[in-house]
Amino acid sequence: MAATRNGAVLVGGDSMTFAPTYGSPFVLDFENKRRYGTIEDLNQFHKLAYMQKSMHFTGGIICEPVDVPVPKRHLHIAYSLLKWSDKPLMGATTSRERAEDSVAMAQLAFGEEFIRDHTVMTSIINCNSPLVWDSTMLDALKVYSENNQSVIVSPFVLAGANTPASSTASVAQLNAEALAGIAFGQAWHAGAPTIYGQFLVAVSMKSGAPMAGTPELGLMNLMVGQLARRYGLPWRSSGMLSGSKLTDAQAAYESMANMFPIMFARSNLIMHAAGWLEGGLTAGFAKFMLDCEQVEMLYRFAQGPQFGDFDAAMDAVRAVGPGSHYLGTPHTQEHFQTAFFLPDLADNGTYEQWLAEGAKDSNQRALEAARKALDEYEEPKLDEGRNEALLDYMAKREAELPDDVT
Amino acid sequence: MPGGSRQGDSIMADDDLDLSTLPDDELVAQMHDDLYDGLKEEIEEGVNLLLGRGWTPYKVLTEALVEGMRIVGIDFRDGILFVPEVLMAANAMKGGMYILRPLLAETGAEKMGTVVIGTVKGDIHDIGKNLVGMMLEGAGFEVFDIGINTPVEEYLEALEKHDADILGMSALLTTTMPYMKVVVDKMKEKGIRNDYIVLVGGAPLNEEFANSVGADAYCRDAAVAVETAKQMMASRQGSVAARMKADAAAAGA
Ligand code: B1M
Repeated sequence: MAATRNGAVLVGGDSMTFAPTYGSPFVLDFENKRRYGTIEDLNQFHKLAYMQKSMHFTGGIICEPVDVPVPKRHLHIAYSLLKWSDKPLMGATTSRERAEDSVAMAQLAFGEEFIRDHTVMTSIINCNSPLVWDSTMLDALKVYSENNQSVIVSPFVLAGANTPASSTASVAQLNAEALAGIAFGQAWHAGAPTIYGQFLVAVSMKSGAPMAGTPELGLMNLMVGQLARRYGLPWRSSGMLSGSKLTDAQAAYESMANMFPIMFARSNLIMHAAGWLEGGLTAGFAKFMLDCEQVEMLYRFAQGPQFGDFDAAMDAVRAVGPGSHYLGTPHTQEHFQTAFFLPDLADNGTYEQWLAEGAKDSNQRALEAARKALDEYEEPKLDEGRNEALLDYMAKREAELPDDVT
Repeated sequence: MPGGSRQGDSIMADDDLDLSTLPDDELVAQMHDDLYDGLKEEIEEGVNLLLGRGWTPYKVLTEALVEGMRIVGIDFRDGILFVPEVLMAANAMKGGMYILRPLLAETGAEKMGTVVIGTVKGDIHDIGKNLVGMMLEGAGFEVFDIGINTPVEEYLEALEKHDADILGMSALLTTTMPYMKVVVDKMKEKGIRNDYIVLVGGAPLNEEFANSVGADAYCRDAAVAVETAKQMMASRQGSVAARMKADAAAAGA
């Protein structure tokens, strides 16, 4: 269970939760330009994630704020997460010290007491596949586990490069890696909230680059889902992945081809569910918005067929009879807004109407929607005292930390 | 595929072809095929045969091996050959180089170049770096891969120890990229920066960044890394690439 400032998100059991993309050095911006990410981009992504009902987590480093000096960067990422959203967040894992800062800042934002018995954050602890758990990642795992904050213990599979060229043997390897990491965590701190994770892509033998949405990955995700249920562990997967550089057809179909088996496999935490492009090198604003809408639809899909109003709807069949139509019936009046999902970003109007509205493609429509959302954004006010405490903490740490990597 | 391969479309079975019966030109053509097919033992045999027939190590290197790998490089670039196949070819090349390298040194002949490559401190991504190292070996370079999470001292030590020509640095994280500057600055401080060619790579880098840290070039992928290394070696005294360039110019004149 992950707590927000005003509620809780359950990771595990039957629940499916979604988190944005993570770790991209580049953004595809509002001008369709690919460039290094900035703290301003990150703030905007965090605001959008806060506003999107399909995202249960604000995420973490949706894009890397390259304009902030490296030794101090994790402080600004944590502040952005805590300031612009109140959803569960993700912490830094690239060193023990950075993990400790992430926990300390969450304590200031939520209260030390509260954090002790509520999990408000999760963090990605990657296995250096094949078969290596390194001290950097395990140090971070220790910090979070000791503080009752959850970890996602994740083998990171580039199938064919750091696993054998076999999907079934790859699953065997990643499963062993995940279980070893989980066992270590539980030995260190029994009962620490832990998620069985993995990131799955295949390698393009043309270049070594990651590829998503291919058939074997779907099968592997289905297998991993079964294993997770067998172990009774909450399971993290990676959803809307694509190698595309643009918000184009490749981006859309690879993402959905990757996502559907994950939905059938009933993953509990689906990361990279919005914004991922270019094998994770780029976070796109348009892709983010389009993915969020797809996720909303998938969420509905995962709920399965609904029989709640079945009898009333069948009464409408009898009332309308042969011929005619249902558009004006009381049942339709009452249910049309919820019966069939109505996407906002897809255009299904007439050609003429589309032309008159500027002949916009989905990329353009999504960027406009992102702009509009940001214009309408309202901050989930952080208590003034807590905000001050966070700023003081950052100032203190910034004074201690070097300006540059050494 | 150039010619026809002994593994693939040729009707002759492996064992039936006796390399020693081939005249020089056919043997060289066969070696190009064997490199393409990643047949290390056959390459070693071919190199020994040519040396036995009085070819200079330099001639064996350039005409049989480098030319064969050039063809491999083109087909990799064009998506005809795949990574595992190129690595097999590089491995065959390495076998040939193992025989030639001491002979080249003995005869005071030019060298292909020595590379020290490693992933920078704080970074453990190595799939791309490994690929680059192997492709450089495939092009005839002697490569010392010093691994991941490499601090500046280790880079400098390896450069000196192996009398290297090229320093290759890899970083996949925006948080570790800046460390490349730490290394280059240290080299400047010690007055050794210009003794080496510095090449950098990794997905989050770009040319502008490479310039800003004081590297000689940014290599977007393994094929470009090989091309760039060869080009830069061509302006270095005593390198095979420099002599090949001079020979080509003389032939053209
Ligand atoms: C002459 O010198 C030269 C010349 C050319 C050179 C060169 C040197 N080096 C490279 N080249 C060039 O030639 C190569 C061949 O053509 C190319 O090499 P590449 O490496 O680009 O290409 C390879 C063939 C294939 N590509 C790769 O191997 C990298 C793929 C991605 C998906 C990736 C992987 C696989 C991994 N990761 Co990491 N990982 C990502 C990567 C995203 C991406 N799409 O790049 C990236 C780089 N990782 C990231 C992150 C966040 C992280 N990773 C981490 C860990 C890992 C794994 C261990 C799980 C695994 C590495 C396994 C391994 N043994 O290498 C963590 C950091 C660990 C650390 N301290 O380094 C961790 C921090 C995640 C975490 N919380 O644990 C992101 C970067 C964030 C940032 N700050 O910039 C990231 C973009 C993915 C993402 N969106 O999150 C060229 O760049």
